[in-house]
Amino acid sequence: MLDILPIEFKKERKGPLVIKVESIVKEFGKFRVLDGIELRVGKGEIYGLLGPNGAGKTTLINILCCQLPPTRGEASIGGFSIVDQKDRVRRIIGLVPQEVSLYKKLTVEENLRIMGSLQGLRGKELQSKIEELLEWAGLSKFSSRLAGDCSVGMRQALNIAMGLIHSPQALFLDEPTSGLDPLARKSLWELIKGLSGRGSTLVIATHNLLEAEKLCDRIGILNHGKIAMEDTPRQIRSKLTEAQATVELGEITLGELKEAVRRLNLEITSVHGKAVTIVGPEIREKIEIIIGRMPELKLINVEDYNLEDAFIKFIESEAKR
Amino acid sequence: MKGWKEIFIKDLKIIGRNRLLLTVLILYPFVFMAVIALTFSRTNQPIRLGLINYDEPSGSVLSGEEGTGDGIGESVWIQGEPYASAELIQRFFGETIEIKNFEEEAAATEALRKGRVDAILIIPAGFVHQLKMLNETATAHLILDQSNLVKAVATETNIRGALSVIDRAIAENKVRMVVEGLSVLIDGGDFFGHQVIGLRDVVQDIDAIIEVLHDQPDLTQKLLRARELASSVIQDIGEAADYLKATAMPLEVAVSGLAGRELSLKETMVPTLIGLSTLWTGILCASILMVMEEEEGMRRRLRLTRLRSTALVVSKSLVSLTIIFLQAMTMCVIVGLIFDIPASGILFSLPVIAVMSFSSIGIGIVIAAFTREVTSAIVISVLIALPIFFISGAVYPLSQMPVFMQILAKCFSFTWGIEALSGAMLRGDPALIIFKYSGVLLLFGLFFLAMGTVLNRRLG
Ligand SMILES: Nc1ncnc2c1ncn2[C@@H]1O[C@H](COP(=O)(O)OP(=O)(O)OP(=O)(O)O)[C@@H](O)[C@H]1O
Ligand SMILES: [Mg+2]
Repeated sequence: MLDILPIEFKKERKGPLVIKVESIVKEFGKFRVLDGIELRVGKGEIYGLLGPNGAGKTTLINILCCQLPPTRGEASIGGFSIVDQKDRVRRIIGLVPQEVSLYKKLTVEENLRIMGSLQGLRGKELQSKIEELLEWAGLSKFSSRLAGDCSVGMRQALNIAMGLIHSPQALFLDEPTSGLDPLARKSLWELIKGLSGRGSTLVIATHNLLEAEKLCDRIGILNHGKIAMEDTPRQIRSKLTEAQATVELGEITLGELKEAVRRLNLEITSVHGKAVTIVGPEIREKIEIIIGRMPELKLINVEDYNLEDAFIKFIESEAKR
Repeated sequence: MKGWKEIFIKDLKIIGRNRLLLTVLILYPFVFMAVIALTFSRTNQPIRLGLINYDEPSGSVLSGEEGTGDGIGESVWIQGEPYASAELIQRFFGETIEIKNFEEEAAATEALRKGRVDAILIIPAGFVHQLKMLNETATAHLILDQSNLVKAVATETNIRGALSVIDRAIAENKVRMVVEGLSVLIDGGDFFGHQVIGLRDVVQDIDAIIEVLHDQPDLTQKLLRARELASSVIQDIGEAADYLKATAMPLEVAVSGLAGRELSLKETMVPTLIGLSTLWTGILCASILMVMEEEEGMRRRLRLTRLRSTALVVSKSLVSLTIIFLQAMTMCVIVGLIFDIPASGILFSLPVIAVMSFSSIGIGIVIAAFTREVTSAIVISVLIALPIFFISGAVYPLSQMPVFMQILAKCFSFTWGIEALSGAMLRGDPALIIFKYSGVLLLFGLFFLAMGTVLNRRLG
């Protein structure tokens, strides 16, 4: 059975431009982490920054949040330059850092309160914002618990809420779901999706493919300092994934099959008794040809290659280049 | 300067909830204070002196009579009383020195090594005999444990003090004897066992002869010259005796302090203690509070708020200043109750503590610009505070250090702070001098605070 994906050609951003990154280069000493990043994100869009460990996701987010100056290049958020108008940029962005950042000796509510008042919120406005965020993050019941005594999931939820207290136009989330169980992760995804519904622009760094796929409108794969591939999740998936075919040998010997597979430039990846798994480019067409030649062969199925494996393959093939 | 108040309140809250911070910043200086107070609380302990006396008559062979060949067991007369060596030591060493007798040196040395005695005094044979002789000097041998120099110096000072009392009594005795002898030369009498004719009698005799020989001018002339010599010798001897008395007159030193009252050793520790807690709390509090923002990852959040780094520095400085002040005031009240440091002294100390804490806080903030974890901030703070403390003169007198160390010490604000606090609390320095010190401290403080602010602004 073929797994046919509905093809979606939504390559372009939606809404007016909020984040514009032009040829950002970042070097730590001689080590170049970012090598000319180009990026555009529109209003209300969720952009996934995908990449292996050490790809520079955090570095890019830190630069965009004015935590770190770029070595070269320019970027603007909401029309303000991150190089020359830091103060303006800082007022309209929110950051959810990769490591949970909060005052462990303050309660959940106190943490939100101090961030709110440092953002200039006062009185009723602050109070209602705190209550709204506690509710939103599911922390209402734990508002008077010390942040240091909260579970990892609760802390992560608070970590995100703290970045949201001033309703930023653009929110940068650095691996917001790391360390969460699948349930907590799912509810966090929902929270994040809700934000973009309200018109916030989100950039999410992650190395979780599933997360990127479920959450993001567009994904950019960051590798070797560049955005190596950028597209909608479905397009990325179809570009990256290959299929694999599983056949039952029947009367055919493994040696005969191997020979046929080799001639078509395919590869046998596993043999379980009589069941053989074959992969390779254009597998769907080629497996038809093989079965045409060896009718004793029984096709069990053709299915998509695991996305994660495909991602690893992609990164590895980039590394070889 | 937006947002400093929020951070100020937040930090006080956090310190109140954090056991480590409570201990290090608030409790520790008091613990230190208690330790110092207990350490110095029994300063009037007598010194334990191991005594080996080779000048004691062994058995009953000698019984204090003079002229027994080797001179062992003789007595010396002081203020009309005879003293043999053991009695001499017992009488003049008084209550401040507790004497333990030893038969042999090995046992005494062992006791000194184990700390059972603080020093050993060896009295050689013939000691008292030598003391008595007008032309001899007696030597006693003092052995100290110099592994603890402070103890050795204190012990030596005490024993020298006691010996000098004996020294003085003997010297007075000897001088009196010489003066008496000299006056015998003038007036005649018993001169150390010989009957002599006094010079005055000789002059009278000459006058009688001149009377008889008045018709022989040659002889009369010669006799007049002899008479003149005799008269001037009488006068010279008289003057010499007076000089001798004046020279050997024991020097009386009347000691009084600048404070106009007697200070105890414990009391002299007060400025050091208060200064130390200002240094300790200032450096640690400022550096820990700054670095904690970094360690908890809050610095990057704060960068996205209205709070600028200058406001952050100001807020942390104010928290530190508050804690230092509460601490210093409490200490002042405690020591005020125990000692009679005048109220004006304590009042003058408060501005000194304030300006002194500026530089401690400034140093803490500079440290914070170079560290990312609280633990390293603590380690670096302690590493910096220790030498500043030791070089300041709080431990060892500044004037006794090599000149370059004295100059170096002047480069640290803490030195000036200790000086100002001692002036205010112990010396009763006039306000003008205290203000001068405070001015120097203020300059130091502003320098470090400015440096800390600039360095931290670089971090955004
Ligand atoms: N301050 C720094 N000095 C030197 N090198 C740095 C610095 N910060 C980051 N790097 C290096 O830059 C590279 C990118 O780091 P970055 O944290 O941006 O990666 P990342 O994509 O966020 O990785 P992860 O998924 O593990 O979070 C790494 O090799 C890292 O060692
Ligand atoms: Mg990262």
